[in-house]
Amino acid sequence: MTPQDFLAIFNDDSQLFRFFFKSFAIIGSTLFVFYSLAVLRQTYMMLRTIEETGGSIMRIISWSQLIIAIILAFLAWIFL
Amino acid sequence: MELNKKKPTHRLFHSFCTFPKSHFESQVAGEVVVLMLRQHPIVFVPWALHGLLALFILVFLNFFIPSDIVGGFQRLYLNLSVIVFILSYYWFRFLSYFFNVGIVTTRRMLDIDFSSVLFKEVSETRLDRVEDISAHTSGYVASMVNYGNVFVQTAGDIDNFEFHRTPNPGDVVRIINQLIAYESKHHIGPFHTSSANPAKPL
Repeated sequence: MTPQDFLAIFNDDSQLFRFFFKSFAIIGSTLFVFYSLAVLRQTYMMLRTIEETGGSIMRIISWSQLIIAIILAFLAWIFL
Repeated sequence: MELNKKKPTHRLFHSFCTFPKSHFESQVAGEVVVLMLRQHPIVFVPWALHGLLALFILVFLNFFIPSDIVGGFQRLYLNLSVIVFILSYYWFRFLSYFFNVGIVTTRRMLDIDFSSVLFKEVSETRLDRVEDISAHTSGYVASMVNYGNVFVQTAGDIDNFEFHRTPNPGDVVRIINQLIAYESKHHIGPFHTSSANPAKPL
């Protein structure tokens, strides 16, 4: 993108909205990836502190959350 | 509740468990978990409402945002993101509920708190340090569904314990009192499986 292309965004309302939508989506999804990593780590730490039945299911759900967060970030970067 | 029977019982979504098969990190050999307490499941109600409110706002936005401003894929992405955030919120709330526990064993009491992401606090006191236990139930809902706070006053400089919104607070106080009475009489908990080397770690 040239500087002229970038400035042209601000002359078009729909382009401007798309720019802000994508920016928020990228920032939000990246933060969500970090949050999911923290929750995953927390899940492991909690299960080490208290051994409960169903621990493997909890690990699977936390991993799923991280994978979904990465997919969201990927979609925001590439397709929006 | 008959304490002489060591049969595990789980009530109210595992918020009031007696003799659970769970273990904790610092458990020592011969130490038996008598009570495991979580908050009463009534705490799920506000969380469920928060999620439903977010879902309602999403449906509302879908109706009122013109499609020429938010295009097809953007709309799909927005819906997907909000649904994932709501599910994620529920998951974090569940983890907070499930792992914030009060544990009463044959030797001591533990209060394990995970109050936010990556914050862990474990406090404990021996049963012979407990000076006073009281249960407080206040409010219409708490009286209806029988939950309350259990306060445990300990000797010396040790922090006092508080189990918040625990179900059947009267039963909790009674069981802890029974354990303390037994401990002070016999200098050993009533459910020890091994007294050869009680301080040996698992």
